[in-house]
Amino acid sequence: MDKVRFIIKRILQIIPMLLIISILAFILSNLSNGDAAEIAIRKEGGIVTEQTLAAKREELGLNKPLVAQYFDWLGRAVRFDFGDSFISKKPVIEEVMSRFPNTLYLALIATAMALAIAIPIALLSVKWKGSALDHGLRVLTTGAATMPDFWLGLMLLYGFGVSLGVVPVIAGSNLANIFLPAFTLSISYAAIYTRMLRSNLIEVMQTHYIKAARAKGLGEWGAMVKHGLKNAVLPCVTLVATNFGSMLGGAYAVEMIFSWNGIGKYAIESVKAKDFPVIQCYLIAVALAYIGVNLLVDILYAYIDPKIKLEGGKRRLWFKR
Amino acid sequence: MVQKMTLGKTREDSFLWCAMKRLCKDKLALAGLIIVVLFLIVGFAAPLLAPHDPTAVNTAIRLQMPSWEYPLGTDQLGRCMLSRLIYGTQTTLVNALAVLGGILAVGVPLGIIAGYKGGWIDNLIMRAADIVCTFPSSLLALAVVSILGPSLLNIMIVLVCLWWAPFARIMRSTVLKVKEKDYVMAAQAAGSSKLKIMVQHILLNSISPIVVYSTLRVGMIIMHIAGFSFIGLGTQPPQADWGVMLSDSREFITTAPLMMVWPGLAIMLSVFSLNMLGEGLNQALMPGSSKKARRLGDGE
Repeated sequence: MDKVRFIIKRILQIIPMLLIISILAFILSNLSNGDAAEIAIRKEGGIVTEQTLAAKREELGLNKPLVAQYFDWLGRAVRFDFGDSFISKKPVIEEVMSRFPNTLYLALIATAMALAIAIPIALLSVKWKGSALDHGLRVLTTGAATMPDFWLGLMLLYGFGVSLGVVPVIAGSNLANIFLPAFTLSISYAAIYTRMLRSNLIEVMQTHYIKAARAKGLGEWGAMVKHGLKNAVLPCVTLVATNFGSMLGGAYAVEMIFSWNGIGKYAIESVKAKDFPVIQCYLIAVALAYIGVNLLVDILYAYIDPKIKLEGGKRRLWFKR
Repeated sequence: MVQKMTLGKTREDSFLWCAMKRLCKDKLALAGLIIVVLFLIVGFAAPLLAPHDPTAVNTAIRLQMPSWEYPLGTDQLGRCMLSRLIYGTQTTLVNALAVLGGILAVGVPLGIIAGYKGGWIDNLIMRAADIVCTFPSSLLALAVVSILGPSLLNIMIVLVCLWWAPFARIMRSTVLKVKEKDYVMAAQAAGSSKLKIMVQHILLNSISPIVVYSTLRVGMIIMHIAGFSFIGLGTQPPQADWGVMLSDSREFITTAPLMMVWPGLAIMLSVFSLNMLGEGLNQALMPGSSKKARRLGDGE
């Protein structure tokens, strides 16, 4: 019951966010250039008169109060029916869905890379805590965390694309070219994970079960990798998943630099071209993906981490009183 | 000497002096402080330091390599890169400080009210803080910019709307902590007005975490503003801005690669030094409670 209550609380927390994003997207739907009824009539090849306009308005529900229109729109939005793109004239959902896998792969590989970079570095700096290596790595990770991804991307593109000529400067979006954009995207996250893992590991390495593992004769590395790492990684799960969610909507700069055909790049181009249906779809899709990932993690976490159970337990006591 | 001791407070053991000493011991923080001060000087003395007009177009000398006349070269319109960089510092500083001012103006009073009043007002403010904390800033910025049109002001408003929460949390927890202290009760008993108590005791007690968190936050603001300007939704050309300069350089990556080095270096250096200074200040102003401000701010 506690877990259910915790999850319900989280769901209640995200409703305002969905509401705000959907209202903004709804405003966008009303920003189309010109009278929607007139456009619809012209599209069907009809004649625009007072009567046909009134009939069309009735048909499209444009004479209803704004709140009713919003709910009509919401009904279509949950089915991802945003109409056609102003630019390509194709259904928006098809356009977005054809690009979404690209962004998904990019986020997945960047997350994997960030962890693959962070774990060894954290282990090294904990093993030689306080040494010159540790300090050097600290400066390095601070530098990496403050490195703007759009600049790193440009520099890497120049280094590998122009100077060395290893990768094409205007690459296609096939998986062979994913390394550089994913690496660019991963660097700042790798730095954050390194710091978090480092401080978690230091805490974990002082616990009794690590002492027991050492007493058992397990070496420092063995104790750290076999027992310490697992417990140090666990608290990072939420952050990694949250960041994965924000990568889905926040990779636009990297996608633009590497001409990676993802939804972020598409969204920015659509903002500049005032292609409102596309932006609506992007907003709703990314908000849902972001919320979905976060909710999934919360649910998983409620089952993994006993601390949350404790919190719920306290709350139940409070309710009883 | 004896007289000094009886006074109780000497210069050597005042809080600020100790904090200064601690800060100076931390070499990285000191380096950060020096760089931040340099940036401030460059930003506010921009008209005196810039060798050329940052918007003067001269296509005859476009995309030049560094020379004595143009120390960092020229861009695609023949504008002096150094002057643009210097004026870009000014733009960045003014914008970042404006956003920070906005965040403080919203977050601090809300936090004080939440802590002081308690009850449903507290609940309302803190739940709102929870919500804006989980809101992805890029998504909201994109939505707002597509409705109102690309402009830096819109981005700045979005950042203020989303980022006041950490400051409200810091203020609220300070108020809750201080409210119960004997000296506040004494002040109340002595007939001090509520406003005076708030200003004197609560603001003074919360100044350390606020300073630390502001320093770190300015770095984030600079990064976000530059990012939005880079993708073309923030500062609009021809105004000199680091993000815009970087965005301009994309087209000339093969012909004039130096163009993208300077603005990127400026962004990174400013954010890096602010972070170093922030962490140093954290250690210096709140010894023993490392990362406390950060944790408070992130709500972890």
